[in-house]
Amino acid sequence: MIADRKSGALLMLLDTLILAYGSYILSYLVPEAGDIWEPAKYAGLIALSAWIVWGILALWKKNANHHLLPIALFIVSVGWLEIYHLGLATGEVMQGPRQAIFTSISLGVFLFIAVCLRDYHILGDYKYVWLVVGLAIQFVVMLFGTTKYGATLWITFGNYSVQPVEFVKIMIVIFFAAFLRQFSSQNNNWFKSEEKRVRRRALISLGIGMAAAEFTLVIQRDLGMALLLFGIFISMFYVTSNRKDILACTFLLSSLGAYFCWKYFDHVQERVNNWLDPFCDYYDKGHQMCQAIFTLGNAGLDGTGLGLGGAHNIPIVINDFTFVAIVEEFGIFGASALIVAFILLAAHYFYVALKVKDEFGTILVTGLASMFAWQSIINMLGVTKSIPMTGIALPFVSAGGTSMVSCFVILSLIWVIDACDGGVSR
Amino acid sequence: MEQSVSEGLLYFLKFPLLLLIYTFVGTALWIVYKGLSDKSLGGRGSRSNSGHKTTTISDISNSGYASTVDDLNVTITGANGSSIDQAAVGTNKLSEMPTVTGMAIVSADDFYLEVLDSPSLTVRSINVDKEIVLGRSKDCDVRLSDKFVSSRHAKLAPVSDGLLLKDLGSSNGTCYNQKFIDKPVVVKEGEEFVIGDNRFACRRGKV
Repeated sequence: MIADRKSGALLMLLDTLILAYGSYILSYLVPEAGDIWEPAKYAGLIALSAWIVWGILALWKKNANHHLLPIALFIVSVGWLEIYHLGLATGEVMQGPRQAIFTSISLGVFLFIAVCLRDYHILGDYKYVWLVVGLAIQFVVMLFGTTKYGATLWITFGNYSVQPVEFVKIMIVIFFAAFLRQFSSQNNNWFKSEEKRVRRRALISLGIGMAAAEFTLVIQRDLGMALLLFGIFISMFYVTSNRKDILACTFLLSSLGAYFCWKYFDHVQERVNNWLDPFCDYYDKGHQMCQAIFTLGNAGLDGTGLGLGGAHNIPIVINDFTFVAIVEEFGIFGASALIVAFILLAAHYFYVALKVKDEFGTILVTGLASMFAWQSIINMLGVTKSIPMTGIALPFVSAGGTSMVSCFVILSLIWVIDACDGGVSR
Repeated sequence: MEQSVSEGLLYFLKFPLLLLIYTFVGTALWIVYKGLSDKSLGGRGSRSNSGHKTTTISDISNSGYASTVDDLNVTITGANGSSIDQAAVGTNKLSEMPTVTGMAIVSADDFYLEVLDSPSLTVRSINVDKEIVLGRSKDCDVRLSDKFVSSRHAKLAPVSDGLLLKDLGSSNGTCYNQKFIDKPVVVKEGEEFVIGDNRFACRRGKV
């Protein structure tokens, strides 16, 4: 794959066009009293900050991957247009502008990490710091967090609430990558290693990962997070150990575990029942899912057109069901193009993982990329009623500053690993 | 929410937006496709879509005319003596190679192979005094048993300024100078190449 500056600039230009044209459509949707230039202003904010960040990085590092940012920006743009419209339609007028501001803040974070983090090995050197900080944050959230929609995930400062778990995920991935690296470098088949110590530690690491996933499921009642952690661990573990039999065993065991969870835990059972037949509790628990199904049914091939959908009838559509709204207004055509963009970005991530020469980099990028991929898959499957609905946000799309910043942190880490590979040797 | 515009207008406004979205995705996919079939990056298409057939020293020795590079009696007289790869590509006949003349050379066993990293090999260095084949099958001179190595993966031969490395059409490629090679290269002293999970370096001296 080539990701040079010229084609990157072309993609950035197309992104800008999408934002410009989208904000032109949005200007028709602004209510009578509002300023019709407001969508254009905020679209301009996103485009300008993206161009600045992309431009600085393109001038600074010639051989870096200049496609990561434009492709992510494409997903952001489509999501932002939808969120702006949903904000107008649901009456929360500030959602669109807020999302634009969050996006430019995230782009700032992206630039900051890309410039400041010269050597990504430093992340691996402080692996226990990440673990301790991550667990501490989780603990603080459990004690002092705010409960919304049945899960304790938020910490509130005045008007703003952050979801620290988004960053904890990244810390855990960094820790796990640094942890797995110690085995992979010695021997390819470290389960067959003669040394008992290595074999034992390998099993312990697998155990820790699985235990963390189960812990989240049982204690925190966070089905999506458990599924996500499980997916990330499996991906990283498989990439490190290259053992298909362990993979199969883990899948078997976790299916068994899922079955027992379903059998003995009420909150899991409720989710599953709600997934199997949302219409049996239409006015209460199934309401969100039923509305989502109606909305999807309204989509058709080319969609209703931006501004004409009825997705604002879904409760909390702006956080969880943004993808459904996009499907409705952009149609199957538009939504499949968006999915292709997701696949493209994931492919670029995994390409970096294949290209990186050192093992820590490979495992870390695999973890971060599989996190992005699993999040997208879990959200898209959940909102289309293919798996039980979970509270995982769609990367780069769902409204919310924390989710956006964490997605750009992943993007910047992968950018740094791609850019400084070869320049730094250990 | 009351809307100040007719639904018909919005309905028609959506088509350019879809078109723009498809332009973006199409462009991005096309760039990826172009990148993957790009020769210099060693994509899958690289081996098949080179326009003309290239004859290389190792091809000739494969075809039975000569069993090793030594028997070919060729020498390299390029400016720095390192241009087998450049000479071999772009010419249709061996006789047209500008830098290859009919002299004997190959001062062998000046170079050996150091094993930097290997899941299967236990030796630390490999003698290359004649042409050797690396791969997974039993009849290879150096057997590498990890999964990313093809049965006959690569061929090494001693030349005057290093080791001539040629990929024998392996599925996972041979990596030299951060690129997958699609033509023979000369690995000079101190340089490294990667086959699957194995990393080798060329060293001067005897084993």
